[in-house]
Amino acid sequence: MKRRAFIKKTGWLAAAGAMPLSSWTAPDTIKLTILHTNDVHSRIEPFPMDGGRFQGLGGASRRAALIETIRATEEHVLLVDAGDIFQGTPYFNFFGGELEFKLMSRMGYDAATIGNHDFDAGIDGLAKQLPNANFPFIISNYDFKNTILEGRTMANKVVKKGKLRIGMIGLGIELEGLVPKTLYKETRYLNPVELANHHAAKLKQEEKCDLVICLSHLGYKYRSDTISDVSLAAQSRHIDLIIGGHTHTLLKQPERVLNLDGEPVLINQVGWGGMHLGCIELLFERNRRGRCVNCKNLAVGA
Amino acid sequence: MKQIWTGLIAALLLILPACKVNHLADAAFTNVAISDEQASKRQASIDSLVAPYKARLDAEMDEVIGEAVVELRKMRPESRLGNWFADLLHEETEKHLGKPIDFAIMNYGGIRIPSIPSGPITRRIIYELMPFDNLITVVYLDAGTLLEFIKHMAKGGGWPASAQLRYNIKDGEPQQITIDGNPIDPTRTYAVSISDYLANGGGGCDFFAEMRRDDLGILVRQATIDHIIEDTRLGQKQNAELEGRIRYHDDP
Repeated sequence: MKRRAFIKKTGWLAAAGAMPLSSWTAPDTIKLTILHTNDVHSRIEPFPMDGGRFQGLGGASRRAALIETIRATEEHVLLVDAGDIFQGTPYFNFFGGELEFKLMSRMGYDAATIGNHDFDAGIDGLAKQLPNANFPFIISNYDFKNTILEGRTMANKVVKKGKLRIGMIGLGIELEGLVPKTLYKETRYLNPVELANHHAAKLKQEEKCDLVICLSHLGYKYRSDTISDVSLAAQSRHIDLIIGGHTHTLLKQPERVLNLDGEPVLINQVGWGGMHLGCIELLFERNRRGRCVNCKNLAVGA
Repeated sequence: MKQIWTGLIAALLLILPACKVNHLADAAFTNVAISDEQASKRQASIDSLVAPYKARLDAEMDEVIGEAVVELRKMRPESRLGNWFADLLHEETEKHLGKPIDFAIMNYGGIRIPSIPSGPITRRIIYELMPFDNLITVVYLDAGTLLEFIKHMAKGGGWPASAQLRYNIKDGEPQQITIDGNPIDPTRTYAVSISDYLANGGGGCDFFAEMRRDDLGILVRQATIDHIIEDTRLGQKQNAELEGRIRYHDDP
């Protein structure tokens, strides 16, 4: 297969600086810029200037400015979050996540998934804040039947950016043992691999998506056999990109794992607290296969 | 350097739409940094959205309630922050329960900032230290469950414990466990202060399910704030020592 040979030859992102620019000639292409956050944990202001390790980093205002800068030059921008929007500063204790959702709405987030800490004010607390979010919550493996969130989230979603059809799914972590049942109530955790493959196949085959993105709060990688983004990727089909969270892992560039079909799946995660903005640029040619052109995780602030 | 990058980015952005896809991925621009300048710009519309919330919050959060003599840092297996916090929880629990307990434990993952800086302690720092609405809970453990709990903590690299509990960790297993200087007494019931999060099975602690417990109905965070305010009133500052409560086997 041409694409795999290409990847093998170049090592995807690994090889930098090898290509003479003169060899590039004109094709018919569309570029998609995917921007993402995870585990922002109510970090609305930059980390305080108190001598701590992260002082001065992050902050919603500067993240918004950075996103605007990118939007000014890029036509097709997808902005997503991989969960744990809530909990970590008094903004959450005092206002219950209201401001977090309002800010993300203002920044133009296209979608988010649900992290374990998004249940910290209870499933009712999360439901109460939903009207402040103008973007959908995508979660494929939580069954909210008989809860206040029933029918208020999506198991998958197609977003159009120009001529591109982008399919999105969302995966949440096992709640039992992590979140008190009094908070998540009747929410049922379903097998993430099965649900991911089911919805990804649907998006690729029935919805004819050019790209399938999984917003995941499973965590990047574990020493145990707990399901993670890395193990999910290896057991997956039809997922091109996993935007991860939960383990607060800051990757310099996306990890690449081969799926059941031997196709590469990119996994990215950008730490926590809104200190970085993930930035993945994909170029689609006419046959519409994504290529990671320029994947980088940007620092927000100082 | 920044300018070189900017120039390169500009050049590449121009070339991008006109390049042959098959060859594109090994181009020279995988690690382009957005300049500090760009990243540190602010967005006025976001600032004005935040402003009223911030004003309400700052009025309360910026209040200095005490002082730390040294930086209290979080580490495993033992740390100043962990010792300080667990000892505080031990004291506050006994005060509210009205009788002595054996020891107190904070779960390592429940402490949400890497350190309390030396100097003034604001209410905000304590909110960030313990943002969760965890309540103080005393669980009454038989010796077997107590050992299971300590094994669980050792496997996790050591959780903050008040001064009464000491043990070594070898290959993820606890050794030479003592409570108030004595080994675990298989006939005794031990009163241990934890959060309701752990008592309800959080942090992998499913072994507490059948245990008798007292829920004090007091937020860990509020007890911490009250404790610091009371210390300050008495002219005392916050401090903690490293004293080898929990050690890895090979440590000297």
